[in-house]
Amino acid sequence: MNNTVVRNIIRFFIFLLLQGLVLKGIDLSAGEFDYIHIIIYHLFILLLPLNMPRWSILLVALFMGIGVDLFYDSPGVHASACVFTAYLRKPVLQFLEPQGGYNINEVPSLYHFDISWIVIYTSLLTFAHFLWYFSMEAFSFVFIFDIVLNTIFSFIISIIFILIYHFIIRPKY
Amino acid sequence: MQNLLQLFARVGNLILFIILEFFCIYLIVNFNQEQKSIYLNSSSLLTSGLVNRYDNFTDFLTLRERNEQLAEENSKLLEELINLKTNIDLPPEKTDSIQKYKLISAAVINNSIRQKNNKLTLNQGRNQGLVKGQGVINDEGLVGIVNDVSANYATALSLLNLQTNISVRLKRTNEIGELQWDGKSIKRLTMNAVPPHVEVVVGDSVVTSGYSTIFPPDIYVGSVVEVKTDKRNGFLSLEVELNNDLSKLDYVYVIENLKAEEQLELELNE
Repeated sequence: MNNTVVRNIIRFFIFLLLQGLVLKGIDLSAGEFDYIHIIIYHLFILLLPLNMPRWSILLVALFMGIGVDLFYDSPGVHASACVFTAYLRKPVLQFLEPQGGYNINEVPSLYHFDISWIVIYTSLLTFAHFLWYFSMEAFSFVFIFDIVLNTIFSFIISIIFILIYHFIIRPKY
Repeated sequence: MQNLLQLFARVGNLILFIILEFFCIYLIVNFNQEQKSIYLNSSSLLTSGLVNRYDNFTDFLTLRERNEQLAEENSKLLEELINLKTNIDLPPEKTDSIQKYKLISAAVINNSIRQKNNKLTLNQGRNQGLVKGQGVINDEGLVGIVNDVSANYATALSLLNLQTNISVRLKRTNEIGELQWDGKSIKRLTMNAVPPHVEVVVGDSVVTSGYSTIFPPDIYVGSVVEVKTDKRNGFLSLEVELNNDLSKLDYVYVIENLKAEEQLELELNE
C-alpha cells in the first residue's frame, strides 16, 4: 500500500518533468505539417491503482494537468483533458473487464495484463485524451480539420512511446 | 436525507467532474489570449442576435401605440401650421381677431364610397369635443364634414356626397367657387359658379377659401383637369381632381373653429 503511494508520487514527478522538459522540446514539424506532438504524461492517470476512488483520481489528474500547463504556458487546457480522461477511466475499465473481474490491488500495466488488453485500454483513453486536448486548444469547431489531424498523428506516435515504456519498465505497482 | 446521500454517492463523481471541467474552462478562457478572444467573440455573436430579435418583437408590440402618438403629434403640427398661415396672411393690427383652429385626430372606422350620399364613421365623439358642422381633413386634403355625434363616435358626410357644397378658391386668380360632387367619379369633383371672364388654365391649384366656419383657408384640395361652360347660366364649371384618395382613409383630423360661434351669431343677426 505504502509502496504504491510512493511509487505513484515519484511517477507523477517523472512524467511531469519528462513531458515538460524533454518531450515538449522535441519538434517534429516539417514545414506546414505541424501535426505531430509526443504526449505521454497521461499514462500516469492510466497507471493509477484500480482500487483508487474515482474522486481522488479526478483531483490527482487535475493537479497533473495544471502541472503540465505550467510548462506549456496554457492554463487549463491540459488540465481539462486530464480531468476528462480521469472521468472516462472507469467506464473504459468496466467495458474491458475480463472474465472473473479485476484483482483490485493491481495496476493496469503489462505486468498484470496481456498485451492486447493494454493496447486497447491505452488506445481508447489516449484517443479520448487527445481529442479533448486538441479541441480545447483550438476552442472552436471551426478548426475541426486541424483537431482531427492533430489527434490522429499525435496518437500514432505517442502510442508507440507508451508501449515502449510498458515493455521497458513493466511497472508492477 | 438518506436518499440525498445515496444520490450524491451515485452522481457525486459526475458532479465533481463537471465542477473541475468548468474550473478548467474558466482558466482557459481567462488566461489564454487566443481562446479568450474566440470565447468573447462567439458569445457576443449569440447574445447580440438575441437582443436584436427581442427588440424587433417589442417594437412590433408597441406599433399601434406609436401610430396613435404620431397621429396626435401630426395633428398638433398641422394645427400650428394652419394657425401660422392665418397669422401671416393678415396684417399685424388684425391678429387679435384672427380665427383659432384646433385639430382633433381620429381614426376612420367605417367609410363608404359606392353610394350617392357617402358617409364615414370616426372613433371620436362629443366627449372629445366634436360638434356637428366641423370640417374633417387628412394630411393630403379635404375629407368631409361632421354630421352627427354620439358620446364617443361621430359620422361625417364624405366629400363624395350630393349635398356637398364647399367654398373654394383658385389659388392663382383668387376667384371663388362652389365645390360639388356629381356622383360619378370618386377622384373628381366640380367647382361651379366661377365667373366666365376668369382665365383658367388646366393644372391650376384649388384651395379652400376660408369664408365658411368649417375649413380654414388655403388647404390644398386638388388641381383643375378640365374647363367646361355651364349651359344653364354661362358660368364656368371646372373639373377638379382630388389630391387625396377617399377610398383609402385611416387617420383624419377634425377641425374645431374656436371662433365659429361668434362669426355665425353675427352673420345671423344681419
